[in-house]
Amino acid sequence: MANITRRNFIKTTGVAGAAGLMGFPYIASAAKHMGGKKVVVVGGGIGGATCARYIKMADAGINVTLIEPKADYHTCFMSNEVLGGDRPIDSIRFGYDRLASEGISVVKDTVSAIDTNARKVTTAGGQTFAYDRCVVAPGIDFKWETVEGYDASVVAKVPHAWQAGPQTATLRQQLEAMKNGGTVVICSPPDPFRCPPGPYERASLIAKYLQEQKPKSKVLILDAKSAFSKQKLFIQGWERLYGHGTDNSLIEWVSGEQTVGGIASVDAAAMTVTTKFGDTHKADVLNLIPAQKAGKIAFAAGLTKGDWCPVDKGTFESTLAPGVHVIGDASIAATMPKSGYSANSQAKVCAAAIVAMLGGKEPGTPSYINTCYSIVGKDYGISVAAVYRLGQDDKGAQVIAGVKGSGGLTPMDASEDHLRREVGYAHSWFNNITKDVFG
Amino acid sequence: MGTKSIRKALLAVGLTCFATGALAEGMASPDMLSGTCAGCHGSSGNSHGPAIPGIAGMTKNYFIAAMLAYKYGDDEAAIEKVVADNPSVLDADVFEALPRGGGTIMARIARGFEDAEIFAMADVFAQAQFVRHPQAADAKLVDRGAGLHEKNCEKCHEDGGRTSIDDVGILAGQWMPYLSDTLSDFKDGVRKMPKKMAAKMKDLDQAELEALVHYYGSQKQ
Repeated sequence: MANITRRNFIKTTGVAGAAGLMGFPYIASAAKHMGGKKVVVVGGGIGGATCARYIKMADAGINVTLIEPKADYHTCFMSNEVLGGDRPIDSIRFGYDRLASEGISVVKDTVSAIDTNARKVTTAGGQTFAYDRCVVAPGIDFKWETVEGYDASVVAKVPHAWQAGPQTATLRQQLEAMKNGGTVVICSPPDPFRCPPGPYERASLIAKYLQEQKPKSKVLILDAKSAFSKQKLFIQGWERLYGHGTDNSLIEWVSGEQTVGGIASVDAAAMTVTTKFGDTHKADVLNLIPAQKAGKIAFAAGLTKGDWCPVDKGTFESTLAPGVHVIGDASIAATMPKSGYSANSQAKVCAAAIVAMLGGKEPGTPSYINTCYSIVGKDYGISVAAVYRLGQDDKGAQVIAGVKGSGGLTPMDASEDHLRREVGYAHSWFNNITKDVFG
Repeated sequence: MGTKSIRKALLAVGLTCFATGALAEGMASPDMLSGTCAGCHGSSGNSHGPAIPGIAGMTKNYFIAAMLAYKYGDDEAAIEKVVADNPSVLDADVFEALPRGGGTIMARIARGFEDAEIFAMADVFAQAQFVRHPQAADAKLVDRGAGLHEKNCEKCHEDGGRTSIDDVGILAGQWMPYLSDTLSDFKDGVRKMPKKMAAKMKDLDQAELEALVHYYGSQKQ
């Protein structure tokens, strides 16, 4: 045995091969004894689709139904690359075939009511689904009433493009049709909202497009806030790439202090917006992202307190309706941001809790993560990351707290090579998370 | 085969289960913990690329050492203590080739996990199978890279770089942009390496490193 290598030793025993084929050993070894239990997932976005898959993976015997009105889903993340012309819109579109092939019952319909007492979900199409546990992942809706003159009927002219899909295509077409020398106005919403760095990545990638194709144009951000996510890193990127701080800057940011909290009204015909301070801005392309709240069904089902849904942060079970869990943007999951990766991470915590609860067990300890990449320009990526644990704040209330000493931002003044690599990581994250969510 | 090698071989095949003991009370399950990696590294640690590496199939020792190196950075004392506390799992020499802390995204994330959590995650990925995805490689460079690998790398990165069993990274079928960045880091001295590797690396020029990247990237089996 003197010359045998460790590799050959293992080959001889034959154990390594078998172990290797097991893939996810812990998940695979989870008991499959909950046949007949029913879980209904409302909404097929990042949170909903992840949760459906992870419940099914943990216990194939659970009857999982996913109800979603759209035939496919466009991810909000990377939709700014579509706006910048760097990515075809088809590359952010995902269907549900893989989920269906995994034994998840995918129903194309809109949930119109959830009877949380009788534990029944009803759809606009007239179908009814009983559940033992229901997962509500409706994403966001808009507070149209906060901007005079804005509603869903105006979005063909003034898109928000904050739910990716047709509006992403519309906004892209408007940018392509805009004259050289035009002004793109982005109205950034007040907190809390989906994807906090999103409006600034959007400004960046539109500026990149303008620089390449229509260099006399500019992007004007009218913000409701006086500070924003990754602000110093974005500003440094804009200075390096787009002349920020000079007279020829491609991006101008107007703080919430100057707008006095954002946009008061829009005139879609005139293509103007008026801030709460009272000044009016004319746009050639107008992207108004309104204030946000939980998706419609969350309100209809009585799951909201204020604009969002309070939950037990260890299981995501609603504190207002036992048996119903709310994940993703619609939930109050402070201090996690409303992001795609947060929704994916919360969905896994929720799935594990549901499987445990259906089996009459105590849910295990959760672990959460969020990583968020923003692409500022060619070969220029930045990120923020955090690992979270369930904890308590000073008053004893639950909080999903970032682990002290961990997480944080790309360092300021990072090297060109570091920033280039972060773009590669951003694209890899996109490829991997979408596979994790949609298969 | 020395005692150490036998011990490690046993570990690799999972015949010892007492190394990290039972899960600590109140700790998240290995699935829960490893599930947080999937968004970036792929479900079960198999990345769909292009720049983030697959981490499935890493040996326990290599995975843990990599995470600890990110987590503790240049704090050698902290690393030495973990190694000393876990002599049946960790080897100090594995740390010689691993990137340390700094502002990289992995350092920011690794600091969010307890050592025991990192040990638990290692079990999951050590038992997952590394999947090789097709990549576009230049046939001439692949041929050249095959020869260079055999001459310079095979001794430690056995079986054409297919395995992590000697507590090394899996190279065959790894994502090419990742391999390219990593080899640059070694070449530029950004990332430390064992003396034997440094001696080999000194003799390899940029074109030869590119050939190696194409060779590894071309491996599909």
